[in-house]
Amino acid sequence: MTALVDVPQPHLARMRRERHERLVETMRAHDVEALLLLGQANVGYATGTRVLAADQGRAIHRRAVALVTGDGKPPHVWTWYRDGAPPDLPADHVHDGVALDLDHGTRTLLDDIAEIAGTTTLTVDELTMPLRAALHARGWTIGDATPVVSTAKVCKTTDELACIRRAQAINEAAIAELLPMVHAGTRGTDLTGAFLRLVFELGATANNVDPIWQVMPASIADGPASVTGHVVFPTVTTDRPLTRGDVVWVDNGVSYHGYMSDYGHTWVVDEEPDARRRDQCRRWRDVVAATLDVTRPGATAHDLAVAAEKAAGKRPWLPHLYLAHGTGTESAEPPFVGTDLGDDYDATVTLAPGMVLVLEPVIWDDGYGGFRAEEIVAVTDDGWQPLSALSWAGWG
Amino acid sequence: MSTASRRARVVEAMRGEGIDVLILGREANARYVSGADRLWLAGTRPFAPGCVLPAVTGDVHLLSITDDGLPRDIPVDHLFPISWNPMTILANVTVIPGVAGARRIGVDGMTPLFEQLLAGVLPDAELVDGEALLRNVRRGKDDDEVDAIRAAVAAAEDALEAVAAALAPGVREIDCKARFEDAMTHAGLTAPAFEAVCCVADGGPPRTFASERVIREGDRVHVRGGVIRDGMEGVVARTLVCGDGQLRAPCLHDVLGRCRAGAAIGDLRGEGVAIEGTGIGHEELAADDRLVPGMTVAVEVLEDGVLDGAVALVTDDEPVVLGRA
Repeated sequence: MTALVDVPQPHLARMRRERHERLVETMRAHDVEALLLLGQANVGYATGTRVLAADQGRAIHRRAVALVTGDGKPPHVWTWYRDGAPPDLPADHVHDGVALDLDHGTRTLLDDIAEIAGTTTLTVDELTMPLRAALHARGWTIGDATPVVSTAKVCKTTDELACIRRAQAINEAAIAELLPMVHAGTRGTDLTGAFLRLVFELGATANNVDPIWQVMPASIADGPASVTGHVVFPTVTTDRPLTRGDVVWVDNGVSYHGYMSDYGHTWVVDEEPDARRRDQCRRWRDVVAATLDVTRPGATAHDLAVAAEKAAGKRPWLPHLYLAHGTGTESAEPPFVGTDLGDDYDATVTLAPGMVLVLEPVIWDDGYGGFRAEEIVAVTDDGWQPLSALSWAGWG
Repeated sequence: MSTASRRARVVEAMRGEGIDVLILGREANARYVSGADRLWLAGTRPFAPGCVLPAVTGDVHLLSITDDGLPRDIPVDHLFPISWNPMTILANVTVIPGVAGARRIGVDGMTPLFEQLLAGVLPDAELVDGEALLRNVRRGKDDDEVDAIRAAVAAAEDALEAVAAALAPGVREIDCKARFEDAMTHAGLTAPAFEAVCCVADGGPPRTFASERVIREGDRVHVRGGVIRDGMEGVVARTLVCGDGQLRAPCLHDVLGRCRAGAAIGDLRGEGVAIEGTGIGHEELAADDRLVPGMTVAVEVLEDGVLDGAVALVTDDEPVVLGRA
């Protein structure tokens, strides 16, 4: 773990400027005139606008909306939380929030866009049904924004990496303070309460997922019903108390100025991990080391999957998830490694400097449970650099 | 209301509007028709089929790798697994009885990619607004739902009391927010409705995001928070004073008195009342909607820098406040 004071602060205004430049450049390369973004991770990326972190049942109706134009002028944002708009956005580019599940809100938005951009072609990431109907009624053309946004987002700037590193350092610092609580009798909800208090006190700007402290069964058959026959993970935290010897898989994500952390580790309650569990941990670290050995610009996702499989003797990850995923303004975003999109897809994913990988292999010995943790790295010009710093105390 | 009777009400509304299948991407909608308690995530996700309800069977089918956290009346064979390939997900959806021949499909959002793929696998189907259908069905709450909202509000009020107890000169705004989120878990809850707002009222426009600002003696602090309990949202809004300062609360009672059946939302908002629907989360109310008995609303007033709010059940007479406020 790195002390929080030693983690460099990102330059937020520079980050917003560089992201916008990158997005506009990508729009031009894709011949896109105007991007209309509704996904909150995309709006945050394009404009730097912060919204209240909320359950989806509220976040959808109180979303900010962004318009990015190919002329390179500052983006426009419609938001319910004016103090979440960045100071460098011109005042007349910040508009009141629009309710896009109601006809009135969609009409306001499209009237505004017609005046601002004078275009009848909108490239969108997603639509509400009233917005879709209004676009059809006006005869506007709808394009798909995902290729443009994904391309722009996939390689991070120095400041984006600094945000991820800081989010992760806050997460790790909170976990370090929490560890003395991990005993028989402590409830999952107690851990969640203490964790949320700590991360907000340490300066996390949002919590993005219900923290997971899942007590793992010894075998798949002993656990909750599995639709696929594989290990079930993650499940929702309950108030069941921990007991001595429980093996707990931890997974949580808090963010810093829109950028996600991803902490994963395995804990054994009130016991030192025995030789077999330490061996599972060693095999997990071998898989990560083998994967990182081939991680450099030009390597493909398939190269990484092959290296991990060779180190473990079989595919060492949960088949419904992945060996690795990217992270940024979304907790899991491209590049993906080892998904069910298959080897041919993985062979098309080529690593480049600035890409981020969250490596999350799983070692599972059915009948004896398993080990899971997560390490985050950024691809550099000639290899990779760590963004996480897990503690291996007790694991040998 | 049991999930089964909710679902029956949804299916009846689907038949009334000639909708053959609902394909839902929004978690709160899936929660409403299925009773599922899946992993809480903040923010929005683009549309993807996470919950499927054909009218002909009335059975709910969910994207899930396990039945953990799901109601017992959803059999494991009604679950379909996660995939990163949208065609794999759609292949699992189109084999659900009642989907393949559907002519009108209600969806609660769309992406250009899924629109294209759906047109490929269900070329004869028309996509219509499933969110609007659910909004109407959800609006009237029954006694069980009102009780669930009341219990959620009580948990949020307890969390607010924990903030009040910790409020002292030298405490930062983010410490107040941290206290609210921690206290929520004392009720066994881990899902906030939204991150707590804890901001000093300083005469400028009201703020949303707790900062590192240190709170001083006499400061007025706007606190707004909420939790999800048994699938329903409970929210609170209040102004706390740091130390011994006095404050004159706004006339929330008078405002609530105006929230009677028949009142137009646009008129109330025009009079400075912030009013929104509350239930499974924020429930949208348009300016030309009128209050009807059985609706639950979150009402807020801001007067002279003092914020106050309550959740209330609309009746034929005075609204019933769902909380201790």
